[in-house]
Amino acid sequence: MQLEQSLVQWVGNLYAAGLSWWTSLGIPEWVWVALMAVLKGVAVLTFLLLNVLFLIWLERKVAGRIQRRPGPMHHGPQGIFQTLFDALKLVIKEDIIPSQADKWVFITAPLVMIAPALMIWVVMPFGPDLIARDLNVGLLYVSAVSSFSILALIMAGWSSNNKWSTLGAMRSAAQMISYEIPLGLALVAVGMLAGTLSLKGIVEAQQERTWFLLLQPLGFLVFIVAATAEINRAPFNLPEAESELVAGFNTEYSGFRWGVFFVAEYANLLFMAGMAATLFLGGWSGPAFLPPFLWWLLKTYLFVFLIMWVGWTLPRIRVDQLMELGWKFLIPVGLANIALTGVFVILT
Amino acid sequence: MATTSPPAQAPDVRVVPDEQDRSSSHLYVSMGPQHPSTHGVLRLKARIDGERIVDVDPDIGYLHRCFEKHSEQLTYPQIVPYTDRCDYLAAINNELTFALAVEKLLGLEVPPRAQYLRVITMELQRIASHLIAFGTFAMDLGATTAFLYCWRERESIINLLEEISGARMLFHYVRIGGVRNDVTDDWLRRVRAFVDDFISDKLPQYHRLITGNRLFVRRTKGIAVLTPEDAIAWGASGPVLRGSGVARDLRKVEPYCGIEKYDFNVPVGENGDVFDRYMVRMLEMEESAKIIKQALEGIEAGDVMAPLPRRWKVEGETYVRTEGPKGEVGCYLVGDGSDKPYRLHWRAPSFVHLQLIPVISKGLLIADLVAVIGSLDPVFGEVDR
Amino acid sequence: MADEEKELQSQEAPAEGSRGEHGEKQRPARRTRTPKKEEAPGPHDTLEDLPGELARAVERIRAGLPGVEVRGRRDHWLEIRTEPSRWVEVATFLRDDPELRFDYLALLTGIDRLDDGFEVVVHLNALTSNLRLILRTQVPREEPVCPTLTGVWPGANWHEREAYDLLGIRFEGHPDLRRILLKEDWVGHPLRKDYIDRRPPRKIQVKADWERRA
Repeated sequence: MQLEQSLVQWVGNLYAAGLSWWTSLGIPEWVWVALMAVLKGVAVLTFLLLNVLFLIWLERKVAGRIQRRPGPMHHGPQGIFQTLFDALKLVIKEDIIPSQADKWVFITAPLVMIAPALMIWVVMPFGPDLIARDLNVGLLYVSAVSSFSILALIMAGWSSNNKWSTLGAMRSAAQMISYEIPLGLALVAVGMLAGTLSLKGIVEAQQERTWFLLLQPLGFLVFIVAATAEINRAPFNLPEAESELVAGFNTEYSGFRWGVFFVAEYANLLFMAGMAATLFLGGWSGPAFLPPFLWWLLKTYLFVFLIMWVGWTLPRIRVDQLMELGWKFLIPVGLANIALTGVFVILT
Repeated sequence: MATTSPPAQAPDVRVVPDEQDRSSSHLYVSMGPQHPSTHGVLRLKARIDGERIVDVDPDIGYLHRCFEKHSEQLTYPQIVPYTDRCDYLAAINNELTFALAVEKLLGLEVPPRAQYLRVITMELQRIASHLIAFGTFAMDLGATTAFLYCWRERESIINLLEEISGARMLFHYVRIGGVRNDVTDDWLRRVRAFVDDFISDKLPQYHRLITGNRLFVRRTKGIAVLTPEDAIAWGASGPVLRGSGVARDLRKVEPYCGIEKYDFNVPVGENGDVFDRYMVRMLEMEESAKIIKQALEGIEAGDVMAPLPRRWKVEGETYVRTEGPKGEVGCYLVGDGSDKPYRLHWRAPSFVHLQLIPVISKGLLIADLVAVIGSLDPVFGEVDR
Repeated sequence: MADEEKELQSQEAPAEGSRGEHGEKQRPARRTRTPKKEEAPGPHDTLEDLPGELARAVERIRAGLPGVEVRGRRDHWLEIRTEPSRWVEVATFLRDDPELRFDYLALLTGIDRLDDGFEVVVHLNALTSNLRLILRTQVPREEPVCPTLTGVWPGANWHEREAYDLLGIRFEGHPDLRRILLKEDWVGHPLRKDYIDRRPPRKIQVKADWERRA
């Protein structure tokens, strides 16, 4: 706590000193602000991509352990550099665009996929002051940006000109639209309880009262199920169900473009786990023996592990059962949860 | 033998549905031959409406390697390894079927120790085959983990069989007149240890992991129901027939290798759906383990090979069938008195079962179609031969 | 070629215990003992005194299908030989007769009998009584046409397609008679004894890297 605060203070001092030096050069202040924003973005991105590399390795290890095998073992201790080499391999692979594909849509789909996956991190509070931009409509921003990826999946599926891809895209559209709603409902209840839509505010509200996991058990349930479905993780990985649709929307993607989809998927996984930690487990707050950032990381990885564990244990759900679960169970429960929360808020 | 060339025949051209036809909203998809869950090289030409299957036409033959024609050029002992490659996941059962057919025509008596060894290896093989059926089935439904758990036990079985035969999949262990190698007492003890562990520890693990899972049950119960009447009329056999509630096991009705002395049950399903076919296989593994235990207790010392004739004069015809893991494995053998068969026809259960796909999968979803294939457990070595 | 065969045969059949020119080539005597069962009848031979159940079934078939050849075999399979023209009638009777009820078609296949044409062989099973029966017919080589059994046992469908594919027996009335294992444009039927592979040799030439460069 001490160390981080002093670090933040030091960075703040540096920022102020830099700004005064900058203005003394006669260049307008907004250039400096913009430059610093870019720098912040780069910092978040670097952190994110490193985490994604680690996550992919972790997923392999977790899956391996669950399945009684060691997982990657070459390339570094416990195969830690495996993903790095995989990424290198993907980058140097031949770039294949099917001749019948809609070329420009095909090329832009991965970009449309990765952009929101990175954008969404703007509002994630890593620590009391470690937040790229604390929007007062944070929750709204999250639900708005996270629904962007449907567009990318449909673009990818449609432009590939492959029947399996199209089927995967249609599945993903149906799935994500259906699960957006319960996800939103769960977020609304949290916002009502906290009295704010700012993520930082939500964490502070939890510091005042208690973890929302205890106040919002139903909301948490809805959120975690809907979030798993939203990021297409097993058992809800229907859009890319390899045993049914070959590889779903990314059947025709290979090499770097496929890698981009992959990175986006894991960035989304990390984000949803981070959201779960922030909204329901008090985010970065925790006893002082660990700095806030590490608390956030710990809680996030707890959820990451939970999602992986579930994913590697359960069979995949069927497409009609998925719709049933979404519309007939999660949405009513989410609505009931809002009503209950309303009563609770009025009473307290 | 006539050597005239066959009359030139017009190639069979059939009307292919026009894929560019826009008048209906149906989509034609070709599932396979390279598809992750068609268990090899099955190709399903499916007509779908959204994700509902309107019509499906299995297309096979991608693994055809003229086994029957080829065996007309080979002597009887040479054919045995070729039969391994039919159902390559249950090689012992194939060898056994062929060996039994030739022995029947030759009138050979197999020594008792060989009979016991045949029963032990055949039931071990059945467990191994059912493990793969279960594992791939679970994987088709998205539960990847069960697959690797099955691999663990199958590996033990393969190691045991490798020890006595020298091969890991295509064992060539059961020969005409007996079995290839004798086994040691230590080997028998280890089979015993494996079976005990399998029944008390490993099988319950699978049930905990998959059978009780609600997602699994909801995806398999009531799907692709095969009525007993249909099952019989379409010639289904093995777990597919028993899943539909018809208690027909060739080990009971046409015993071979002295299997009539063993005490075991024939599990049957109730509804004939995907779940029942799966469950029959799971229960059959238990029964196989029971048979192995009894065989291990009863095994006696002695030769493992009957004295073979120096000259092979196989004459006459016979149809011998055994209960393979997939169903009725049959060998129709016509000998003309020489050392090579005049005609050999292999009755492959998977071949017959694939006919059922269009019958039971109308109106299902694509995800169910995958489950249907998994529950029929086809192996393309024997479908295409 | 013929000489070689003779030589082989003469090598193969020395008197028991004798040693050939190259004595070391002989197998140990234990292995050369010929079983005494060569004269014994095979499983396909006719059994005169059938057990009661089979005898009753034979009677039943004789009564229901006059003029059809039926016999019981030593391996307890019944065998019926009939004309292609009575094929479906016989099959329908066997399936529908309340005492026989051959409801299970295990196998349908064909054999090339050269000058005698093609033989179509069907193995049937009655699941309730476990009666077993072989149904066979012969179709001429010039006009290998046989009525289909798909109307009686739907499971005959693929068996017949396979027989058509590999032997060229045409099953009249089959709903979907096309090749099943071979390509749709394949010429000829490989399981016929006189089949000659007349495909042109493949023109794929594989050259190693250094050859290509040279």
